[in-house]
Amino acid sequence: MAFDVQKIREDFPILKRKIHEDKPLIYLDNGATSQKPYSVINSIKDYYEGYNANVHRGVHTLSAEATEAYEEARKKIARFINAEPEEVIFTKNASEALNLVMYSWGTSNITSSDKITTSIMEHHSDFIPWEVLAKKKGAKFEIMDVDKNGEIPEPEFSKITGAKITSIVHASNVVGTINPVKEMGKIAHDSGGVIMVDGSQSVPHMGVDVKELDCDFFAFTAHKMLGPTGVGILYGKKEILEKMPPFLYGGEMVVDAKVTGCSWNELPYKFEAGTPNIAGAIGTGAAVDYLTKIGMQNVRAHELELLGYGIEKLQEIPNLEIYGPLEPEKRTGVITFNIKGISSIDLSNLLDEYGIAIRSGFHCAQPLHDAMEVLPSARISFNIYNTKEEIDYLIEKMHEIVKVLS
Amino acid sequence: MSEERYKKFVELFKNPINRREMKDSSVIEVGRNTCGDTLTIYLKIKDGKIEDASYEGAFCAFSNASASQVTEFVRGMGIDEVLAIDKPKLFELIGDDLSDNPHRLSCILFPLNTVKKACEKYLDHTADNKPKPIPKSCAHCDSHNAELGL
Repeated sequence: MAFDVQKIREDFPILKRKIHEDKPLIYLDNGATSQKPYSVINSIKDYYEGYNANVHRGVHTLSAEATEAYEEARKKIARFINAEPEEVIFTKNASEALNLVMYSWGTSNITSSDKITTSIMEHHSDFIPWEVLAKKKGAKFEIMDVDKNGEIPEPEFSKITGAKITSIVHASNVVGTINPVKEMGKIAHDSGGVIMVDGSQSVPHMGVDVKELDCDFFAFTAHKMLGPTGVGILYGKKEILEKMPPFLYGGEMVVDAKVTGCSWNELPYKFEAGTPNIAGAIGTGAAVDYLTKIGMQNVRAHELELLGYGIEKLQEIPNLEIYGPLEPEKRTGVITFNIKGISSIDLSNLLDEYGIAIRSGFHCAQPLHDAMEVLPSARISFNIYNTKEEIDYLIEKMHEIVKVLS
Repeated sequence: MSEERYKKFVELFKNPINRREMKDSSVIEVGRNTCGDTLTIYLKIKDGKIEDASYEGAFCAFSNASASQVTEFVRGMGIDEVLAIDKPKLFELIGDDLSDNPHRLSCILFPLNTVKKACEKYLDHTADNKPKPIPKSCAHCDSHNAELGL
């Protein structure tokens, strides 16, 4: 399918709205969450209007239809990342998926003689759980550092050796760097460890094949990939998931509940206690359909074009420093920067006056900001509906704001 | 919020009042806002009254503008009076309630909250007329680390 950004924009109703009465929305905060196409919105509406029922419960028509749609969504997601459906667990977000592994696998496998390795560029959701577990168990906590380009230098990879688990972000939500997680996984496996990958910022922007990456766990979230909020996905290798204790207890995850003890349901249901976000899962399936139709190679190609253009144009602003590698192919669609003497929150607040939405702050990655010795930063992040014209408008307004604040 | 109204804050950002270190302060408090901004408040207190107030470190235009004004108007106030300043009073003192820019409310409240923490710290350490050394610390980081068990 040919990539036509104007045609794609028509699929997203929110892009028609105006901000502050008459300013067209320029949405450049996709790293925080993406917008949703009609097909995703309608799939949720169709579920609530046409076949709303609980899944895996009743033997009536609605429940059967809801169950089929929910499980179909799981299969679509599994195909999208090249996993088996029983290896795809629905959670409420990527944070919960990462915490599931920490609580279930981590608390039952990590002891005081073990080592946990992660990196300084992690989102808080992949940093704090391991920091807390290491502290609780008295385990060693090793952190791979970044260089001045926001990349993890190869000598740092040696910290993976001997770690019982290495948890690493696939693509940084700040510096955008795409980490060589396959290579890191090989190092982990060679010394008997497992590797978990946080793919929240990679899955929406590039094709991901968990078998090719050979990672043991992979977490991501639906709302950054055109899907609804409230749905996270945890992929885990079947043989590992089977040995893990449940994370949450309750309905669905149990197959035999007796006062003398319980036995747990099979995968993936062992990890899906309680009524899931059925509408959200169905919406995620619709988002996968939408992205599949466009083709992830086209999604990535468009993003690379915007990245190259954005990096070049941003550097026209005086005293602006971009964090992370400047080569587009080394990163996903986020560009984080600071302008000397101007607070990122002032910048984003003033850009909002022109209908431009960007992010400011630590982006839930304070350890990375501290390590790079930089202040809370401004971040623009792209998706398939963004255009070069939007970048031009952003740059024009940034020049004006810099004049006011300097 | 229009750029015009922003200018009032920008003016104080470019030409801040009381942005200076105070060598002979009675109490120092380091505050940290959730956005990552940090602010150091210095208070000189005599006979329960604020004799002098200054700040360092605020980064955004709004927290600078607020810190400039807050350190100005608490001078001469009693500690109890400072602790009694509520949101409506603060809005009255700085001449803006941010009703059309609520995202920046925390930037405006941040300096006053840090001044109040400095007052509370001062009271804690001077209770019973037994002055104890007053540490320079960050209340936010301390409580965050305690939650993490660090």
